[in-house]
Amino acid sequence: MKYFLLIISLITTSVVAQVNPKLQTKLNQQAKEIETRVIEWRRHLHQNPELSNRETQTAAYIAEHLRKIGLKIQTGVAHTGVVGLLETGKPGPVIALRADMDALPVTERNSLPFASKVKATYNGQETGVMHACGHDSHVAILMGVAEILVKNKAELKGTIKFIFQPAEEGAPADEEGGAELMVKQGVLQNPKVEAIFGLHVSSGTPIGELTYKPGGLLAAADNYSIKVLGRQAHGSTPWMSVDPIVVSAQIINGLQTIISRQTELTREAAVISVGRIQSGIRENIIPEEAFFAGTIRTLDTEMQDIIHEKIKLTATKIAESAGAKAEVTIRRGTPVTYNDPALTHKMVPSLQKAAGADKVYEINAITGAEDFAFYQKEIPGFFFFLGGMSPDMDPAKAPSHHTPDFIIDEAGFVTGVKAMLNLTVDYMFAKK
Amino acid sequence: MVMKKIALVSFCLLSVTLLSTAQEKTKTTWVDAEAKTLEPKLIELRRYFHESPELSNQEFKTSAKVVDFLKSLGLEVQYPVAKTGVVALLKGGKPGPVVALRADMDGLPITERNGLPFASKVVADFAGQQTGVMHACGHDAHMAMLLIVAEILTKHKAELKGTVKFIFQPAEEGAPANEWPAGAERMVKDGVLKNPNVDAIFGLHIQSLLPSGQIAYRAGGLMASVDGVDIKVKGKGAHGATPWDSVDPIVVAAQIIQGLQTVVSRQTELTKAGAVITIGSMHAGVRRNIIPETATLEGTIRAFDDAMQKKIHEKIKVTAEKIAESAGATAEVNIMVMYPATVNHPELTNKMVPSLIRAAGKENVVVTQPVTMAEDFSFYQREVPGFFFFLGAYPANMNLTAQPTHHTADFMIDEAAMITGVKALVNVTLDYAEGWKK
Repeated sequence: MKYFLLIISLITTSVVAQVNPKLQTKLNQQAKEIETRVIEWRRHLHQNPELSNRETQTAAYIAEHLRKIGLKIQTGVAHTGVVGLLETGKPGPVIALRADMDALPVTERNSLPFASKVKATYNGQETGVMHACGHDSHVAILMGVAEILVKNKAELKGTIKFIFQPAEEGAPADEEGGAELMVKQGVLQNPKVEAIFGLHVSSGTPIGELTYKPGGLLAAADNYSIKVLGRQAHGSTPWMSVDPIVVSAQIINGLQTIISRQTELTREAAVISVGRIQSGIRENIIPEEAFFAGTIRTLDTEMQDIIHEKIKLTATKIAESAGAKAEVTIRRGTPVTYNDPALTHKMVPSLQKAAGADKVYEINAITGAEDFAFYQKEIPGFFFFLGGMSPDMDPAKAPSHHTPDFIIDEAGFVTGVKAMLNLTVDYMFAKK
Repeated sequence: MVMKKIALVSFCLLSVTLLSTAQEKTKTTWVDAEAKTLEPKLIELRRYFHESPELSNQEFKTSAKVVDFLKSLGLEVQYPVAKTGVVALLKGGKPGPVVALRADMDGLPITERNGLPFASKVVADFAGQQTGVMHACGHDAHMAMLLIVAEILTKHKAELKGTVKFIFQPAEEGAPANEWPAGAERMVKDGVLKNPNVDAIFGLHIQSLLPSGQIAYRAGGLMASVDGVDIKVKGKGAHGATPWDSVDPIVVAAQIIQGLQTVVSRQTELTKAGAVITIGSMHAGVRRNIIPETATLEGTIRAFDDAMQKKIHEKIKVTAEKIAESAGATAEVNIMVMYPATVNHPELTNKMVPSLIRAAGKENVVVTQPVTMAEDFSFYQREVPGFFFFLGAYPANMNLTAQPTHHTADFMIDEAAMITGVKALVNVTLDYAEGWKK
């Protein structure tokens, strides 16, 4: 029923979209023209990666470009973020376009001539730093988009906010950062943003393709930790103990049944993983407590709440069944990257205009997380993937994100630039 | 504490041995001689019972035979006690204690398959099912031995100190559900240990896996308590394709079964005594693609110590209830307390060991591990000091690994072992009376 209504609204909006076809053609043409410079910027960024909340040179590089093209800019937003404002002077919506800036503590291993040689200290450890998730591409694409939109300012209306966001990968411990902090510092206010768009390059998707999903695209990532309090005893006399290791094992088994038996998997997928377990120091001592921690991935806020409750119940009651106690702490992290269904359906034609109808398709949800979600919590937003895999790459062998061999085919960037341009102008000129 | 106990035990064992040396010779002579003489009758009796087995609480012909035999000895006979039980009283010529000797009488719903010439052909109805009936646990031998013991003691009545109460008990294997309490529990309830009040009780059990003629005993917990446990897991039914609409009682039951393992493995003091929780039946559902509403588990609990037994019951409840709650289900735990542990009075046990040695020979009396089977002799032991021991009966020519166990269709005993049982029971009776002080 809901979907049916959506389809109707899709048809109507396509019909009433009022972008001048000439402008559209011009933008796509200019995207093609800026391609070499986008690649150049991306290579510079790739060679100079910086860790989360430490993106000072990256920010300076972006700021310099935005200033040069004549944008009003704001720096030092959420530590190292840069926000550029394009005011057309004509009434219209405020649209935000976002790129993330940070790199990862990974030592690059591919044979690119512009591979990173940067080293830094991460958690007290010396490590290579690498744009192993493609944020360099995101920044370069958005720099190009900004330049083209500024160039065509006279034909646009409303306001465009370019958000260059730090720390998408997570701020260092004890620091705030990323989208959450940007939102907290008011990046969506003044002027108040109406819709936000963002993309992510994908090393496993062929270049030229754009993929998306309405609803939950990327998962909410919450951390939980469970402390099982038992009673210590010698390993030879378990009856004197309340064994927290055996209880933990039972709880871990119990947690599996939350997904397998208690979660409506046809609505959305969900994941509970135990990533760490720690108990005891010696083989013949039954320890007093056990600790384990993991991650919860959900694609629906209601399911997220239900799963949190079930984790608490499962752990505390199984612990009680053996005379132990379980303390469950759940820390909410990045919310679900939820593509507003109405906005998504409205914007799919823009993606098709950028990539061609046969190159745009819906994908399954992904259990990774993305802090773009924090913007979407506030306002309707649309996040999609941009193909970055070379045609000569075997998809089964494409190195995945966050690995030293991660590689992106730059030939896909132009599609990204076009997609962002089309989304912006289509939304701008769509009749309310 | 432990040291002291050992010292005491060995001291009193020693004194008994010393004190009774003088009388031993004469006693041994006539006890052994009488037993030898009556052995053919003993075997004949056993074969009679073996051929005519009756189910628990149905031992009508059996008790008639017992009554006839005891009356023929001139004993004061009481029948029926606890439905089909027989109690006879033999008053000795001299003052002394009241000693009870007990034999159980019931057969089992098993169709005999061992090819003995006196194998049972009896068929009966058990829980609505037609079945063969067989003395597949050796109660036939118990009755035969106790009848011969009665005959021997009656013959030597004049020199007997005190009184002997012969208890032929029905339904040791457990009565039909609507006839509980039964067996020993009911006999005790009906006052079998009163009037005259019993000072000590003795009993034995044939053991097909022990060498013939051996006696095995143990002070303290010999046989386990047995309790039943029913767990009903209540969930919520749904189509098998949509488990999220259900509270799946099968998965919860599986988790509970796992959790119950930890009651024994992690929560029970196994050095004090062993314990067993076995889930013997699990039932849920009717069709592969329907998640049922409920699941039921049935199990048996074995323990050797009252306190441990109680603790295990509590832990089973908590384990099942809380694990069920952890998944949004509920568990109803119903524990049926059945037989307590068969615990041999330690002092009495150690005092009686020389009597066993005189019957079987020193090399043939061994200390056994506790066994997790149960025996309702325990109900007598709750009231008065009691001693229960095993009489080995596996034939010398039989391969032990091939020897059929109790409660199987091939069960078989060596009848030559019975004479040792007769001697042992006569000896403990006489020796107990001898050593008895008001």
